[in-house]
Amino acid sequence: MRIELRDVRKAYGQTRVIDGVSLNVAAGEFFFLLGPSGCGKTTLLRILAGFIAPDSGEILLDGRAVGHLPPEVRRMPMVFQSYALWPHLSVFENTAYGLRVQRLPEEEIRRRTLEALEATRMADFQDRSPNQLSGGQQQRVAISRAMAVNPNIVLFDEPLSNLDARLRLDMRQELLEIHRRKPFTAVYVTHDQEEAMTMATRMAVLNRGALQQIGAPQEVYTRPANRFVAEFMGTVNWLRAVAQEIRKDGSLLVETPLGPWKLCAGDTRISAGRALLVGFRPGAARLDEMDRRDAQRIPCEILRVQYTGASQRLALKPSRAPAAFLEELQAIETNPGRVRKAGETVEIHVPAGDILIVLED
Amino acid sequence: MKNSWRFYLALAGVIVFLGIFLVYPVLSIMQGSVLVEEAGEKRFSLIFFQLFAESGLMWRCLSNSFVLAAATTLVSTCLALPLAQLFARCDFPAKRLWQALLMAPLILPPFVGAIGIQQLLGRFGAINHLLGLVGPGVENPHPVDWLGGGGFWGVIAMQSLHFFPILFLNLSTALENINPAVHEAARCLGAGPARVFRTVTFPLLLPGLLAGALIVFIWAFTDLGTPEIFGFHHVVAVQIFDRVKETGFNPFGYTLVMVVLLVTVALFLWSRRLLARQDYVTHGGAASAQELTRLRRAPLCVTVSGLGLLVAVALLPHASIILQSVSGRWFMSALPQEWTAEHYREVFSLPQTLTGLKNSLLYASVSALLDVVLGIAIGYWLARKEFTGKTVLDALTVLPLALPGIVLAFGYVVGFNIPSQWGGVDFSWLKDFVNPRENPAFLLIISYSVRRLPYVVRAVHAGLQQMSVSLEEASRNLGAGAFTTLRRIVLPLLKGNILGGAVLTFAFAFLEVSDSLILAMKEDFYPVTKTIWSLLGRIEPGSASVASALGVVGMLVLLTCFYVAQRASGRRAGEMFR
Repeated sequence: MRIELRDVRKAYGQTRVIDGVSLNVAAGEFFFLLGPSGCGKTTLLRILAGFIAPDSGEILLDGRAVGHLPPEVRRMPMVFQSYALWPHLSVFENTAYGLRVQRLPEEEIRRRTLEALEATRMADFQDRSPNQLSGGQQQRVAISRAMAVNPNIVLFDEPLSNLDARLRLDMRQELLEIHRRKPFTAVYVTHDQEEAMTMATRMAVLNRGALQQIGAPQEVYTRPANRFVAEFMGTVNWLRAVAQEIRKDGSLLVETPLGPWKLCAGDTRISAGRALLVGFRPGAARLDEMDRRDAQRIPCEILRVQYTGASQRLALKPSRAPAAFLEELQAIETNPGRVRKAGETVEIHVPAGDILIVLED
Repeated sequence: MKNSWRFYLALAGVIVFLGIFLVYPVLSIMQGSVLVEEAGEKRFSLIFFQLFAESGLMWRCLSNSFVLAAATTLVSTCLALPLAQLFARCDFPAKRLWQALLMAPLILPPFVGAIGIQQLLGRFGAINHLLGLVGPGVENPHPVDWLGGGGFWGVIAMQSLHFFPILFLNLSTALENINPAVHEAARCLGAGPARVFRTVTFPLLLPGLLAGALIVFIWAFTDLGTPEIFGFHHVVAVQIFDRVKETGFNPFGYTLVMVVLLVTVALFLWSRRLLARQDYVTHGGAASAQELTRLRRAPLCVTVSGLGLLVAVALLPHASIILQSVSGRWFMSALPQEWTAEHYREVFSLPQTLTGLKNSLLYASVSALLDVVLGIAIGYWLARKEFTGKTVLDALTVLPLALPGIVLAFGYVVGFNIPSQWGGVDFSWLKDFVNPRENPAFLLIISYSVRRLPYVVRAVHAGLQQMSVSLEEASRNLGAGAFTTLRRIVLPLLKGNILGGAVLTFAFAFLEVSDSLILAMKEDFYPVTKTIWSLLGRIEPGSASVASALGVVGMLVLLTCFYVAQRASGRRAGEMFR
């Protein structure tokens, strides 16, 4: 089922919690709402579910306006961060609840409930009470409960945040597997960008109630629309730059504190003299590779090495920077055989295609 | 850390204190109910229980009390449950004001309110007069006795009005503790609001609701003041009161009290088990804020008028006793013919009323002080320390909740009936101090403080649970001893809870009825409530009005206390009464 939000607004007093958000979710997408605490993503989800009435704006399902309908009519089961299982009902009864509401024949209720429980491997626990289950088990039951009614849309409100790290990784795969078998339209709220990137077909990044960018994970990561999105998706080494000229081959020359750089301009129309931020992610910096012609080379001195087991995180000081340049650059050594030490020199190469460009406001 | 000998000494002292003033009275009652004196010798016998079972009067009283209590509980629940749901789910204008007004019955014990209510709703009362202006009323040879049944419905009405706010607060807190996500989960699976209430909210509330209802039942079952004022004598509480006044040994008193004790202890234990289930049920994880439904138009009108009616009825007792206190002559008419402030002048000048006020102030203050000291000690030990005897202390601290006032008071009367001489030893010094027939003050103070002790301990305990142990550990780490830590760290942080608990003890003791009526056996020692009772027993025309004026003074004292307690403890009203 297709979802469309048109110019949805919600304010509490003076605070604009949702500031005119419009987006489309295609049928069968695993769509993510991503952003820091307080950005409005949960509010948006709850507006979609019908628990909060927006001040203005429309909500359309397959083109039909549903904004005036109460939650019980919208048919969008939600999976909650706190699991929200009913302690006075057994696992079976929890899962069967939505089917009982529809007053289906008893035989069908039994069949579909067991089917839903089997999909999450919780069928053996059907007679237990929720208090006897672990967090992960409870969340599985919550998912079964949502799936038992064969929904077109399922809403997820940070469902994995209460689980420990290892379990979270496993559950992500299970959710994707369930979605693959019976594709529903999913709207999933999280503040964890890694979760979004591993699971989303497309995602919307929000900040302070406003949409920052919508796109597939790779696009949002490599071509962030602004500084906020860039930094939210991961660490960035930033440099202030001024545009010099755009060449006919599409490359852009900028002046940075570390000297002139040549970048890929892409579609952006940037006039000469425009102030910019250019940056690159620590993972984009290659260390000591000699055969990249279109890469920016930055000779550096290693200040600190942080050993994380899987890699070494390097804090670098550019050797040829002017005295006024105080920032450290971050890079990652992924080769376990190459042990780096503080005080050594290293030359990092950043391919032009990996350099982010953000217009300074 | 090993506990010091000083600690064990203090612990022993507290346990002995509780043993003497909680366990011993109950044992005295038990002893009196099964020991028969025959030819100068005492032997065990169940004959009194047999006589009790054969007495038609006793069965009637017992069944009356049961029916009254059941009716009160039912009415209170029917009022409190929809109200709690309304306040939890909806938003409407002046919501906080409405909530405060609905709490009005708490500042006026039913005993006092009943005085004015009779004037208002009796056969020749004001309401009938008002109705007479419009239609049937006093002119009618059979005027409606709104309190019909010889006071039966009056008792139910007054008790229900007094208890439903407590049940309301209890339920509101319980509703708030339910993770709202469990309701939302049901709604987004297709369940409408009614179904959600039926299948999710109500089952989750039920244990707490039953627990609260059982407590209301126990209180209504053992309430002395209300039936006494309405002259409804065939209930267990009033029968016990009458038996106490009799000198000489009357077995029915003992057996009646034993029966009451067994019933209340059984119900109390059941309510505790239910509360334990409620607590596990409401651990629902992170609760998110939910939007309240804003009421408009028709539902809003219905709600506001319903609330208005309820508040008007709830405030009737207050209004009636205020009216009564300022009326000069008020007979056979809707409103007083004359208005006067004379009665208030009398309250503050008559020796009888002044004594009553003075006594109540004294007793209430001392019992509050006693509760603070005991409450801090016990609350701290139970929250922070491990020691042998902890379960004993815990049980003793909870015990007063299971003992109704009338039972404890009766136990004091029979247990502390110390003779001047015994076994050749002169005990008159003890008798003059402790025996309630000589000096009720001592046992009155003890009974007030013992009955309120569980609440103060709970307040201290709750405060300590919210305070991390590391605050005290940091102090000990820096060289401060246990007592210094208590003085400079713990007590200042707890002072809100402690002050709140102390003020509530004071308020409770000031207008306490059951123990006061039974134990205050000498006129010089009457507290306010017994003074009111004795004023009403007089034939002088102005007595009822003076009693009302005294009641109004008491009401104002209570109002001030609740306000101070709420400000001091900073807690929501609901938690103070759980």
